[in-house]
Amino acid sequence: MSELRRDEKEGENGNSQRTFPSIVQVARPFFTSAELKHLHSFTIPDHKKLSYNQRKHQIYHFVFNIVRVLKFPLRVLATTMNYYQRYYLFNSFEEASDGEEPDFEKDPYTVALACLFLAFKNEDCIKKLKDIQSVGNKMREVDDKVKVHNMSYADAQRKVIMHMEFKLLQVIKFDFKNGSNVQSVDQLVVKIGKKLGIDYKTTMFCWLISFDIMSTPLCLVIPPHCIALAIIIVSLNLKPKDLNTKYNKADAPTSPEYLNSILEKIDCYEDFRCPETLVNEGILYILDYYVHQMSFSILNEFMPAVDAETGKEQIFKFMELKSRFNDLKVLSQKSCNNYSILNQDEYLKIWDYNIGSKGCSRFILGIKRRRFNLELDAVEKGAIEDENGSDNAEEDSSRVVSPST
Amino acid sequence: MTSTITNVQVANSTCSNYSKDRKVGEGTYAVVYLGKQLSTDRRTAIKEIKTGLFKDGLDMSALREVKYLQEMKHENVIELIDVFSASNSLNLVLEYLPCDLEMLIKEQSIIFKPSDIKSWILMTLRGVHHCHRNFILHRDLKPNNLLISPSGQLKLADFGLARSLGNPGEDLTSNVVTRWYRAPELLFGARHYTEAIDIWAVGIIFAELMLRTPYLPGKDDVDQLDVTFRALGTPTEQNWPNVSSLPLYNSLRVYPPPSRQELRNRFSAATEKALDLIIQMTQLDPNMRCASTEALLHDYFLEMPRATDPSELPQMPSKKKSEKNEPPQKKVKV
Repeated sequence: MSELRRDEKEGENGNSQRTFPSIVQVARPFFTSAELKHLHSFTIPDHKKLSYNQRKHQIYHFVFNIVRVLKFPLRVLATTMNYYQRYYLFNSFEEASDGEEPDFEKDPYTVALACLFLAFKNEDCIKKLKDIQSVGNKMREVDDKVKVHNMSYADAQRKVIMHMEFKLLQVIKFDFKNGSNVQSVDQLVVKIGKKLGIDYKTTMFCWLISFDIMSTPLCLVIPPHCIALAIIIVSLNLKPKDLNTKYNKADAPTSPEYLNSILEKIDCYEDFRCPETLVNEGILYILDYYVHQMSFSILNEFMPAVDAETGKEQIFKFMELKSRFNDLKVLSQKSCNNYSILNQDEYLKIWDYNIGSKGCSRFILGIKRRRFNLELDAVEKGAIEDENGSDNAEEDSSRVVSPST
Repeated sequence: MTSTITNVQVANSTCSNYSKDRKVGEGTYAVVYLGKQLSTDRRTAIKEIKTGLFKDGLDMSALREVKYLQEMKHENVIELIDVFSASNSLNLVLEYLPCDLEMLIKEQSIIFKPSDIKSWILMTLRGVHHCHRNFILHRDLKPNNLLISPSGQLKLADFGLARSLGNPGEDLTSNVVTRWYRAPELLFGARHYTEAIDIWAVGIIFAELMLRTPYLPGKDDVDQLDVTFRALGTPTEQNWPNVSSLPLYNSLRVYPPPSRQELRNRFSAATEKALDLIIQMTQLDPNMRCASTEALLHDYFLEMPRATDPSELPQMPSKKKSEKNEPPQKKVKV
């Protein structure tokens, strides 16, 4: 679906024409888990893994509070989290030192503000950067009037955020759709729930899961509608009964048989255009998440500690379900399951922001568009003409046939 | 930026291969150059966006333009050919479209035949329909944003105000669309609106094509209400249920709705079916206004004369063919 072609040549031709390094980046909104691991191996050294995860949760909490104070929809939060995780696929994770002068470039909080800033814009909830900064800094109890680097803290921070925004745009490859133009997962679960005729409680359960899953890297692996459907399927299998919610709608409890009948009727691809392997990938990820992190999850706070029916802790229900789903067909990672293959993929390198200033980098969404035919034709024509005329002909025409050397 | 040529050669030629020849305009957030795709000799317009220079970073309208144009490819929507970054600026490569509908309307020497008008409206509606079926609102339709290619195709441009359809319960800003083309619900400050605002604008453009002068030229926002309702009647609870609950609906002068005969007199060149379509597109109540599909299927497009073939539509006289692409004077709306 996405692919990268990259060729750098810096004046090795020996002709007088100036040539610049150039790069074409085809937006790749999703990665396999092997690819994620590979990317993280460059950006997050092993000894920092733990602090990355801890910091991520602090940051998410921080971002969540900003979004709440500014009264913006949850999808802004989802996009911010997506950007934040994407940023650390291509940039090394570093902790800001606690020295006198704050080092904004490395500070994950600044990264988070930049992500939030771009997410606000992308989700059409416009807010001045100044306002975002002031809310954020107040929350962290930072005095943004103190002088750093000969200017106020806020101004210094703003400068870095601007710069980071441009970096971030390159990280997302100017793909503002994030690979799909459907809504965020939290909206989707409610819509799908309604369409399938699922009762309030089960839908609430789905929504809580979506809230938990929002903070995981699953959004970098499969598109939102597949995540949403995976959540629905997990919930329908678990058939939650006791959920402590604030608004307990007094509708009659739905029978498990009814939920089963809904479950049986779901056709991933026909009804929701979700490829089954992707949904399966999501289901296993969600179950894995709860098996390992049940006690930290938000869902856990809304469920009684012990399931009334089985008399066991809630986590066992997830484990039991996982064992039933063991033989689901998931994504094949054959094309990216070892280091040497991954290493050949130029896309999975730390991104060099300087290319844009030396030469240029071109960003495209996909390679299916017809206009390439035009360009290809032109180059082939050019190659033939070259063959007749110039000495460089051989080199040029071979270049057209075999892209990279 | 002074360098003229970004000369790059990459295998398979999926490379940036554009020259920037001439500066044609400068706006608040972008400089527009006229250029060429070197490999194909195709003329392009390159919008160079100054990033990071402004207090709010990448401009919202640039972001919107990329976001929505990347998604759409249609004969009647401007094509975003490329996005590339060079020397720390962001460049959008757009189709080169030398002319716009406003220029044609103002050019006194050109006579519009009924079939020409039909052709332009048809192409506009096709473009709008494509946006709407992708759940995108254009929100700034006006003759000045309807660009015309050398082959006569009309294309919607300037997606700097576009956005996707709002979710229920989400507030949208009513301060969109250039004043003369603003639908009544926007004039009343509605916080939620739909595709109908674009249809209204098309209706007003249709009228402008027939009249050769702006149909509802309000001097300011208050005057716009007056001008609009003087022409089309003041909305009441009878013809637009719940209109009085909109924020800015108060102390209006009440004008009666125009009779069919009055409209006939105003648009003396319009056929009955053309008049029908205008009336449907300029219904005061957005729920009564027709959708782009209905408009495209309207009898007006079936009756004679047939819409002129784009290649035969009137063009600007060559001496005045100014090489203007997109007017860069963008309004930043929050």
